[in-house]
Amino acid sequence: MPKASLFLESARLHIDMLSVDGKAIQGSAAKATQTVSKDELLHLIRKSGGEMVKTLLAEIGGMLRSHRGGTDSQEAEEMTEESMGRIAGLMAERASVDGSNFKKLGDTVREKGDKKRDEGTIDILSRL
Amino acid sequence: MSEQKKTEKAEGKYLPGIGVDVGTSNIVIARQCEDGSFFVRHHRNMLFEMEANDESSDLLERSDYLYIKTADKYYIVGEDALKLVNALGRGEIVRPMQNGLMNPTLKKAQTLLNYILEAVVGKPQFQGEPLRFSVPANPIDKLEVNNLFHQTVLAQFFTNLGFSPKPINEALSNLYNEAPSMEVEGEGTFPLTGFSISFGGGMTNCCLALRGMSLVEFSSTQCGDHIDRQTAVVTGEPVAKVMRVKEKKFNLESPDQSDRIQQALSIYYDEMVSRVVKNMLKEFAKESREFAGPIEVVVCGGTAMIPGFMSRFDRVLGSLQFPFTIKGSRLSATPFFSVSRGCALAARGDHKKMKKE
Repeated sequence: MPKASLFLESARLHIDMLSVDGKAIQGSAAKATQTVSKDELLHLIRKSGGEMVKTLLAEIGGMLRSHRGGTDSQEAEEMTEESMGRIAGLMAERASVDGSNFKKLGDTVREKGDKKRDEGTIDILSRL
Repeated sequence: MSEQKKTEKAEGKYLPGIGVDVGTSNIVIARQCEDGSFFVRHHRNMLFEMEANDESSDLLERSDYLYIKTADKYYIVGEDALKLVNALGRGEIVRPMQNGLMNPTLKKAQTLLNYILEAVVGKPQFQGEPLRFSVPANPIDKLEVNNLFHQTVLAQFFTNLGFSPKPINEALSNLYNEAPSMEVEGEGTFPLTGFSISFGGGMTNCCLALRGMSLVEFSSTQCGDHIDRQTAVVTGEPVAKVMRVKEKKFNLESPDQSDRIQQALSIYYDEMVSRVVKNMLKEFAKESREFAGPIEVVVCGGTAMIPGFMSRFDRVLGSLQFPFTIKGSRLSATPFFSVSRGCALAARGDHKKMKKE
């Protein structure tokens, strides 16, 4: 079974797909810090939220398609199909968590500044 | 003209560098525009938790509340959380952060905070755009609390958004925005020299700086939220109601003594100011430090915005003997945004430094 090496950010359960069975797919495999099984991967996806699922859907598909030559192609195909199905289900389940609900976050204001004074501050700070 | 174009025109072109004030009560971001003005976006850092069931689902579908859904809960976010609690008249708001740091009692705090931050901060103007985010100093009244985890997690998060982040002490960033100076006879002006205090929701942060360099930084816990919580406890009213009274009609110069909430707020404000100023004195007494000129105190933060706050603060400040002469104190003209603006200026300084290198 292909194993996806994942770089788990400490900031959130954001997942960068970097390698499968130790072979780099995108970016540097040196960044990969943890290898997890497919079930663990899906568990992480489930926990990660709607936006991430969309990204992962594309990433997992692309990763496995590009990697077919390097591992058992039938197995990779099965995983792709299964993953796609399960992720699509998750996406539907999490439709209410999509990012659009957040685009209007925060009130905005425009405030006056003191350009001359601020440039003096920036000059000092750039020399610290 | 499309809405997007209108917004772009209103916002103007941003200079490189963004400041983020990650506060217990509010998240504020600032970008400086070419004309020297600041574009500021702010969001209440609070949530109201609801069980995910048919009833809550119906309520959310019929409303335009902002919310995050997890497997078994809905979290109504920001100002909507406060509105909903006040409308329901029951329940309490939850904060992703507590005492200036990620709330250790809320297991999902990190994920929820990141959702809010990502939406408020937005995308970098270019890969590796400098970003400065505010962090509290380690508290002197809770020695077991350390900000390292909080700081590292946020830095990692902003890096993943494509920024080049650096932490900055909350009080120091206020000092950069307020730009106090020290006049010394025969030596001239020392810019960015003074004492800065930020009265936030979770903590009070203090910083003494000379020519923009921080000499000493410390914080005290139990600030604005503590006042709200204590007032709620002694009056038996929900915290959300206390906040509404505090923000809408409370005046420290003339609190309505017939109103139990205002009466309690006044008492706990006095206690907090007195405790913070005495803590400052204790910290300064630890080291022998001399300044050739008088030091200006610059104050900011939502907790300091209540009318009459500065006169109470000055009264306590003037009653104690500090190891340096205090020239005077002033409240920032933009007390709510000062930290984020100072962060933005520091980020602009980082960008200027990057270009030199």
